[in-house]
Amino acid sequence: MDLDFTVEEQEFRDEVRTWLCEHVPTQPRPHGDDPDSRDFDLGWQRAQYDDGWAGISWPAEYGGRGLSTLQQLIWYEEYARADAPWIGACFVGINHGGPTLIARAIDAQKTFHLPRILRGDVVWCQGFSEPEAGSDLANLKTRAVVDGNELIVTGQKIWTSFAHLADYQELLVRSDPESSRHMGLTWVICDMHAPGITVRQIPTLDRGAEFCEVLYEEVRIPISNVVGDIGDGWSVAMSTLTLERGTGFMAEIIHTKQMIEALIDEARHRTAPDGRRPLLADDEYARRLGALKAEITVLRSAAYRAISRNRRTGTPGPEGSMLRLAYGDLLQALTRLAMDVFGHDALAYVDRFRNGGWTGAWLRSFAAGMGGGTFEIQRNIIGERVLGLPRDRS
Amino acid sequence: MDLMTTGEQDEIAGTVASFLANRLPVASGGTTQAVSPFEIDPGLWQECAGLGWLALGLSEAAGGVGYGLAEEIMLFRELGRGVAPGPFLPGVLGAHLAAAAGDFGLASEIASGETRVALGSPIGLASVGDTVTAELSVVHTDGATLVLVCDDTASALVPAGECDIEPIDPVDRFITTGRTRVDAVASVAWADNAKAPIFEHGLVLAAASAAGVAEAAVAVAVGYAGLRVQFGKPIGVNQAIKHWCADMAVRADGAFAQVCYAAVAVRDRLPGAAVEAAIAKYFADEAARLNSEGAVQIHGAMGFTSQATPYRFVYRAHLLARCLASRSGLLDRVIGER
Repeated sequence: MDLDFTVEEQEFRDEVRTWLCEHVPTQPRPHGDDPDSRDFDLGWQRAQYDDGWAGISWPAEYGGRGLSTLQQLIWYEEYARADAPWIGACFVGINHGGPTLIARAIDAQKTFHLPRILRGDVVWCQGFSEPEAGSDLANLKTRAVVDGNELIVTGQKIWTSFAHLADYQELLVRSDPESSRHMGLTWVICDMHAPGITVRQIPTLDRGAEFCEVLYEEVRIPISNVVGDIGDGWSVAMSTLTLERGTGFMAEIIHTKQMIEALIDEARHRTAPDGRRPLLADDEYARRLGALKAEITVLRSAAYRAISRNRRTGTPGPEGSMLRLAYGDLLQALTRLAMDVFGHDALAYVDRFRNGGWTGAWLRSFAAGMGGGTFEIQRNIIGERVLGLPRDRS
Repeated sequence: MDLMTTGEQDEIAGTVASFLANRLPVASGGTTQAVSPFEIDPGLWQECAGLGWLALGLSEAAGGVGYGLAEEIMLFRELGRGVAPGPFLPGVLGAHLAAAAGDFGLASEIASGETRVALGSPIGLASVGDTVTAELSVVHTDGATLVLVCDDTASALVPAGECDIEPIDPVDRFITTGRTRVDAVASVAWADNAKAPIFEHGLVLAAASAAGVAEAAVAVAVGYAGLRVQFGKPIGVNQAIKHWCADMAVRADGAFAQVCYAAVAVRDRLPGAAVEAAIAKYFADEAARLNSEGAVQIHGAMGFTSQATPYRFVYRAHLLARCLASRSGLLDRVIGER
């Protein structure tokens, strides 16, 4: 049990810190329906690629840095400390689509797509959820019919972030009309510029514009775009789980820790309700802030332990759901408290990428209870897969 | 960086757990094990001391086993899981303090179990040094000849005979408890907290026990939720129960993770160690309290009885939250100057 980093790891940290300090964009990321947001996200990805920092957790043979788990941890810690931008539209390509290709695609698919993702040439999006298949993903109905060397796809996907900016999509479809649940699904790379695709943006309560629904009307996709086998889509969709070591999560934790420190500082410079002393001198505020600082610190320790466990076992377990749940809960509590700290100043909307963007961050925090599985689904996973409680579903 | 336990640390935990399960099982079937006037059977106490439980982290020069805080937390986590009686916390801390004060003879007397120590937590302002003036909440009074008093300035051992401890009827009736006010009682041994951070050491060990309570409460609740059948199904299929268990598990996991981090930080004297220790104690206390409450509720009416085990966790969480430092004081340490 130790918290030591080797000399080599410390040197690596210095190297990362120096590079980030010199290269992190000084302009805030554009928010909402700003046409520059795609260029901003891809430009930052390209800047990392040009200096050899792209794909730090990807194996070297696919153009990544192939760093050790602890070097990844260091990268993400420093990334957050440097206040480097949110990954934005590059999220699916770098964190989900790309890793799935690495795990399951054939060489031709990998050599075509992986360098484009790393270079920041393309945006990927995810086509999993449907109106009737949210928490119950296996209920998805978008169908694909094999026609010669093509799949013909008809149906609808929803909650597809950045579909309006995307070039490719990791698309999960039902290729066997007789099948149900997890069987008969296929994971395929869909060209978002193909005829028959309609993307509609869905406005969100935080004034975001990346949420979309995607309609497919007899969209023709070459069978050569299928990753894994036809009918094996569920296992392909789940394969990224084995690549995630929990290091990326550390950036969110450090970023949140910085938000809490900033909020404490804010409370130091604001006036308490009695008008006579700093807000931080008010015991209620001080201890609510203290409790949040304690909770984010605990979450850091839990993440360190999860990373340590993953290094030993090689594959992360369902324990990741525990971190996700605790993090979402904390983010909501933090931004809710920020609304109290800001008082009447919280009547003004400020988007989350700008300085003092607390109202935007608060509104965004509602998504933490849904993205990547709702709080309720996370609790089911913990109850059933971690604790072994009985299931009540088929 | 590796926050997982080593094989050797797991072995310590396993040995302690099986000893406790065989010799000091969590009260089952309704017999309260509260032994009066003894908190723990003297023979059993000597046996535990003989196994080196009080000397795990003590240096070999001071007659100890030569492990460190990371090994001690494994012991205290198991003591919490097993809601064991016995003055282990003040014993371990008292031996460390005596060693830090240069009194190796006293250190080994305490570590051998011969000299028993009670834990006195100051209430309000206290003066701790070569003399002690404080109002004290004292636990593990049974058979104690010394009282360990510590706060974040210093720690001291004072003779229990000069403390005039008034026994009280404790909520946790497995732990002998009292109250006193001492005025300029001379210390047998003492050390500045900057020299020997007994206070932070104690926060981490108490937190390890509270984390153990939180973990055991989840285990008991989950076990019951899987067995108890109503409406033709185990109650654990219901999300109202399952999700409560999930939240308890998240809390317990965080509590022990922070105990590990704080143990390393205090052991290696890393910057921020005092805050890490305060956070460990705050969070583990909360986890023990909330999880013990959850375990009672999930057991339904059975949880209200003293025939099921959840009440033991309620008692112990309540007691531990009042040892060394409590919620408000801990959170003030987390925030610091304001």
